[in-house]
Amino acid sequence: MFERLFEHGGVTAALDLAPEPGASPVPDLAALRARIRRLEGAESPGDVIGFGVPEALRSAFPTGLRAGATYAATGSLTLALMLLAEACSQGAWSAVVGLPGLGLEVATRMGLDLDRTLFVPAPGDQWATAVAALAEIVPVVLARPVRLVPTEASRLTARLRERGCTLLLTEQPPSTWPAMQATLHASPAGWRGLGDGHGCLLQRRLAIQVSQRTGRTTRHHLEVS
Amino acid sequence: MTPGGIQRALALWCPDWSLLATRTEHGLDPDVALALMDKGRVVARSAAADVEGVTVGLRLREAQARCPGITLLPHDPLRDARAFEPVVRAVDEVIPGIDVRRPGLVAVHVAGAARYYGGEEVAARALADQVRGVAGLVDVRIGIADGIHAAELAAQTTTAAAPLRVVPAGASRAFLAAMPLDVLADLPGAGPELVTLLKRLGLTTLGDFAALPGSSVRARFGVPGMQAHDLARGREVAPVRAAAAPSDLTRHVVFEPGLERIDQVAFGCRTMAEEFIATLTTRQLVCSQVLVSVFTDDDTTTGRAHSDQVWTHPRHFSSTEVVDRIRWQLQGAASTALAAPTTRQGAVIRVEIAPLALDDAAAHAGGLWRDGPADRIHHTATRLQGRLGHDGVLTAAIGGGRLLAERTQLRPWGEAAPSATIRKADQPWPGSLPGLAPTLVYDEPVPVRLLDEVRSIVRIGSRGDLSGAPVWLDPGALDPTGGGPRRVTAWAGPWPIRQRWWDPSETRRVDRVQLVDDHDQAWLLLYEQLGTDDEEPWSAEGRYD
Repeated sequence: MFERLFEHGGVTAALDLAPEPGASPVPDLAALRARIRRLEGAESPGDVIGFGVPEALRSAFPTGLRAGATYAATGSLTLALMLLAEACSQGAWSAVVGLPGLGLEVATRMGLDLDRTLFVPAPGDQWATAVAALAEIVPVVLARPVRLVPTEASRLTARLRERGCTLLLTEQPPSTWPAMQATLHASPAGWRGLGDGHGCLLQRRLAIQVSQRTGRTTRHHLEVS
Repeated sequence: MTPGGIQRALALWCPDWSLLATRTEHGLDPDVALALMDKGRVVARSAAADVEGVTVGLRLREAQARCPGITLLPHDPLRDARAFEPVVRAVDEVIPGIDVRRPGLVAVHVAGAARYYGGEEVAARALADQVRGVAGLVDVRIGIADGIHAAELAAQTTTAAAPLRVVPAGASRAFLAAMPLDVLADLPGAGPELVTLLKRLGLTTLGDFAALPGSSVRARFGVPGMQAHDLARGREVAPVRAAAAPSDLTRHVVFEPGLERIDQVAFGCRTMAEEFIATLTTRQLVCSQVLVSVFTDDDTTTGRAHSDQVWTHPRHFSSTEVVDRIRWQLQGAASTALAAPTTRQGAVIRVEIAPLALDDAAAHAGGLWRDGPADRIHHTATRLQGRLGHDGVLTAAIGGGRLLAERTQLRPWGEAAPSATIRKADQPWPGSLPGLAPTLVYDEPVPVRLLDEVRSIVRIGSRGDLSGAPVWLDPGALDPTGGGPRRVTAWAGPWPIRQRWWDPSETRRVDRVQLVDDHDQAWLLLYEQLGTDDEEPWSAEGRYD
């Protein structure tokens, strides 16, 4: 504790508060048991072992998003941002790679803490390097996928699994990538609040189709306001 | 040592040091009428301005009225101190153990130097010879007396023709007694009020003041009065505190012949950066801000830096990080030179680094056992920044503004976050967007076409009236399938945004429209008509993806 005593500066002040990914501030007995089971590799169905998901998707991901796995959230940036914000709601750091022009305002309204988010807007040909480096320090990375050589892609997913870093992709990656843990596809299902010359957008609905790796497919409805 | 226990002191005084330092920095002619201003009043003026009747304490308007051609510059104590350092080092070479009283005035104990040189006057002449010419210094005045205060006054009584005055040992009291009371005005604590008061009491010289009994002075004027009384009686209040001269931490490297490739320059700077950090480390210092100056061969005649840039670090610099900053600066200069081809990018002949913010290394020492999560994030982000460039890794904040691109404030990792007040995020912004915010914001608005029923462009009048209800939207380049115009199913607006209407050069009239098309895609459009027949007044500000 004492070696931190003399540190100062705007950046570092917020850092020490970050708990380990997936840990709740006051771990109760059930959560601790779940962690033990997770370490033993024997999860029971009710445990939230990864990152939380929005309420409407809870039935598709009863245990949350798995740490170290890769998910694709296609069709809507809103869905990807919601998943990211929900995953970081416990105070974890996050990173956004290759998405210039992301609406920061909507991200903060969804609960993303910008003070704990790193942005790499244009990694160029260093995409894999950037994601691998960020996987060392943040538990969730949101990225737009690029074409990777199969060996490079599998090396990256292995690195992510080892570090327990969840990767959220905004598009369906090219076929050279290993299979996703799950693919969430959002399609617009109506807007509310905007009339013919009056009003303003207040709420949107998304129809989400979740295709799990196991082949199971479920449909959900998400309301964003 | 004199009978009173006061050591012999030497004061080296450079008259009008602030003016000299300013002239050197701005490259001004000595004959130019120049005055330095502080808080709207003249604090120093050159001889040419003095002739025109400009006096110390004059207001800015009055000074301009008396001398219309005067150059007025702000007084910068830091510049004075910075420019004085070479002089201090020169004094230290002749007589070690110096006390910088203020920029322009140095005090030293003279006893040792007098023994070495064989007399106080000889020592003073050796000192004057050494200092003259350093930092453009011509007029050097030296006074020697018992105690620093008497020596300073002795230096101030000299003239340019006779720049040395030695008050013999034991005679300082008599020397002081003849001085007018006004010399006390510059004293910290005493000030002009005390002088005015004493004059009204009928006293004219320091001798009159010294003749008053000490207890009465203390009872009437308190501690500041007592200090002034002690000085008037020739006692030492603030003795010379001998210290080593500040060393020069600035480092530079010269390339002969000049280098044109950035990686060559960066490689050539590595040794200098390592030595720079090593020097700081031996002094138990760390540096969190450096000034990097790059000189190129096309500006050797002017002697000015080709590019100066201040780099800040959230912790403190390591040598590789200093080299990274030099590289980024060269890359930045190269990209601006490409944008403006008229400025020729010359070969780099000299790179200089100067520390701007130094701190005690003990406050930045690492942990005993391991680095915390904060350090890990910092190290990785910095390493990534080294690969991708300074603005490769960003942090973001929401700022104030009406347009979405204005509200997004990105800054490179490691640069201090502006406070919420500076960002103006907590202020109301009439005209900012209500309801949902778009998930995609275009930095530069992308042109689109909004059409009415008969497929002509919808226009907004000066009173905010639409020429027709929007029916078709042509997203243009933003539609990857190129499907042509889409039907508008719902819309609202126009919402006016009027920015800086009071400033003709910066005024901006924008209207915003929100709409949903038949692909169930929602858009935020901006209307800005720049000419009377502007064919593309509409652009997309954001998209709800």
